[in-house]
Amino acid sequence: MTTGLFIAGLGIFTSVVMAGIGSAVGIGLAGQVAAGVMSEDPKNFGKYLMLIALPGTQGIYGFVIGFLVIMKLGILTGNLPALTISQGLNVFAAAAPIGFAGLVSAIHQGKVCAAGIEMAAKQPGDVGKALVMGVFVEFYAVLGLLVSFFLVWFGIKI
Amino acid sequence: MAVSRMFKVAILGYNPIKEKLIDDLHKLGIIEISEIGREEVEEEIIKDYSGEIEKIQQKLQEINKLIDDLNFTAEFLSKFKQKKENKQPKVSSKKFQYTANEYLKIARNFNYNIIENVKKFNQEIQQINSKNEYLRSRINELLPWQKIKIEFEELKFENVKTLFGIISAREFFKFKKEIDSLNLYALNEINSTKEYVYFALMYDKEKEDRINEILKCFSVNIMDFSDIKGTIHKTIAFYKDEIKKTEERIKEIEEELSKYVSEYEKILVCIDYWSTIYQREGIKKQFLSTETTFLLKGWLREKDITNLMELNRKYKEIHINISPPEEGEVPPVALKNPALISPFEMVTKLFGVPGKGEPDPTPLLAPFFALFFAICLTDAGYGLVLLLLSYIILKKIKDGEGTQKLMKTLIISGAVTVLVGAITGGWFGIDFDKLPETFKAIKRIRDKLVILEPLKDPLALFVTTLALGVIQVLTGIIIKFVMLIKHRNYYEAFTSPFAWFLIVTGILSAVILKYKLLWALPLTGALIILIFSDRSGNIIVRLLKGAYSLYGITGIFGDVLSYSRLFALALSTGVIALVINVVVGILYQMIVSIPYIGIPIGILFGLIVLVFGHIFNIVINSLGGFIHTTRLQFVEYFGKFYEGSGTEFKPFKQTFKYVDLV
Repeated sequence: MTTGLFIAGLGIFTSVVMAGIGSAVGIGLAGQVAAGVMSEDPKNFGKYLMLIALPGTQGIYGFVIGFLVIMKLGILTGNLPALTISQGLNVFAAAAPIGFAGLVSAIHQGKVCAAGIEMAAKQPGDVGKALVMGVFVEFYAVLGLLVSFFLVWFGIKI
Repeated sequence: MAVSRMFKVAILGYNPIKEKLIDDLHKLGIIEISEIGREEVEEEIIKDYSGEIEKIQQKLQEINKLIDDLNFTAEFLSKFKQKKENKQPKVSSKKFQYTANEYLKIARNFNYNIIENVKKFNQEIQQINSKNEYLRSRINELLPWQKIKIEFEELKFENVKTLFGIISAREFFKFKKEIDSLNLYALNEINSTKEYVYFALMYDKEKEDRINEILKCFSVNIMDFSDIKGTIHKTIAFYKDEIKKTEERIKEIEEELSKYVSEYEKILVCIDYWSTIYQREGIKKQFLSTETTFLLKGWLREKDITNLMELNRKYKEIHINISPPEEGEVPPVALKNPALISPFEMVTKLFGVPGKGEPDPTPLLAPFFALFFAICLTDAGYGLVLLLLSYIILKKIKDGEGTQKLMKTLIISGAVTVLVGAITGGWFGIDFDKLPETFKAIKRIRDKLVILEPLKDPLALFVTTLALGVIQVLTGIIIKFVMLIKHRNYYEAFTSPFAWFLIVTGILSAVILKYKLLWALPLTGALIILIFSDRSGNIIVRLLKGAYSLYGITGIFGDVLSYSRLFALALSTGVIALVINVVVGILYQMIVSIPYIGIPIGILFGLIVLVFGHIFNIVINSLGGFIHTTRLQFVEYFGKFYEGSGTEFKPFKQTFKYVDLV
């Protein structure tokens, strides 16, 4: 394996693992609050579920980019490409945006959703508003996904 | 307009028919009864009225207590049943179906003694349990002392005291030395474990002070045996017997309770019955009553007027007055839309119903909503699954207006998803280029439908989503323009939405057509905003304020970019669908190479992963698509023209939790 391929691997790692960590932490935050709230009122599980699931999308975005890089590099065919160091750095830079945007936005979205669950517990009619607030945070992960996608799709030449 | 026309209604009636009329209104469920303001009423009547309210309040409290008791009984019995049958509780949202007569018969003939009995039994069980718990722990305490064979009554002497205690084994030797130095009658080791020594100490009463001093220096746990009758052994047996007796009593109680389990359903019916009575009593607070008459005021939809007039024919003792709302009065809002659009009222209600002078945004958002949701999925196969699943759920769940509307929204959006999926060539993420020759025909049909393939030409989809954004933002601006014209606010209509329309369309057409003269359009728009957006103040303040308004262009730019989320979601759905297929392919290749059993296991395993994977993808992305689409409506679209500050029309009607009247 060339050093270039190793650096490209680090890029895949960044997008998948960082965004994944963000989602895991975000869902963890929301999930804990939901469990606490449900100990008093177990009825609204369905409503809380949406708010818990919301920070999960960043991990998926990261995975999507990671997979696209794998596809683009032709690793799925079983032949490892011999990348130069600059090509590797190229891949790394392409995959990184969703990793970082996903990491931070998912954690903060988790916090917003956790607060939203508390709100929904007291005002069950306002779940929609809580969801919309959560989606505001998500947009920045979406931007990260877009930039990563265009960089991976058009910016990597092998 | 997609908002029902509302009429004011006032009913004046003779007191004896009050209850019957309320009952009828409750069943009809067409009037929203509003409170009669005190300022509308003369002093004298108010006095009367406040006494009435206290009476009602008291009655409400009584009913509330009964409902609480019924709820408690129902919960207790359901827990009891669970424990008896050792089953997990089944969460069924199914309601009991009764005719109106059956329902009333059950509620009225219900034996309300059951509540008292259940409460009594519950109390007794709790008492028994806490007592038994105490006895059990006492028995455990006494067990190490069983070796004392003397009856405790014999231990009472005139000059000698007996003390029982527990000390840690490490300290016991030192303790013994101290005690021995006092030349006492005896220090007896009764029992000992690795950690503790159980001892009895007999001593002269005169030496009590000295003993106490020593005891203070050691951590000795002194036993209280005042409850012992006879020997320790006898007492333990006695306690055990006691526990046994109470357990028999619990069995008796459970026997009694199991007779009541069959009443569980009836109790739920009663809860509904009393809840409706509670609603009926509560509404009386909003009435105005004198000794002989009552007055109620409220709102009514235009289409229900004939229904209400039926009542006028039924009762001779009432007078109904219906009139259109006066200037300045704001009626509650009831949305009215054709069947294909009405499910989307759910989205509108989530934000807020239209306030005064606002149109119902439901028909304006419905097509956008369905299309945007479809773009988030862009897979015809997923659309089909969603459509079918929602249809099945809709048929299964009969009640719950909210759920029904949600399911209908998903059916419509699912259908649009099939169309969008067909023109983007997405069918469960299948890569048609890799299909074997035999499926060539399918590929040809699929290819004929395709207009734009996201994974082959992502930029095209990206631009499409932005274009849709421009269309929706412009639609919002046009709606605002029409609203202002309708309200005859021509000045603002032309200086704000019209100018913005010029700017957005002008810039776009100039850039796309590359025709320089077209730049005149946005420039005109910008000038209008710069000069006319603020009418007051001197020219410099005006220009500064205009410049600030013009800064809003960044907001519009941001709004349009926000629609790129549709592209991102479409992409992630598509790629994950592809991933699932690729992973299943690799797994299948790996498993198939196992001799003999490889092929059947490979097919089975592959199918399971395939089905679960795609269902997961559908669920996650439908959720994401729904939320993001909703946000686009609320923030980017409604922000242009809609406030949603109205109050929803909530008629006074019967609502049941457990019963479904047929």
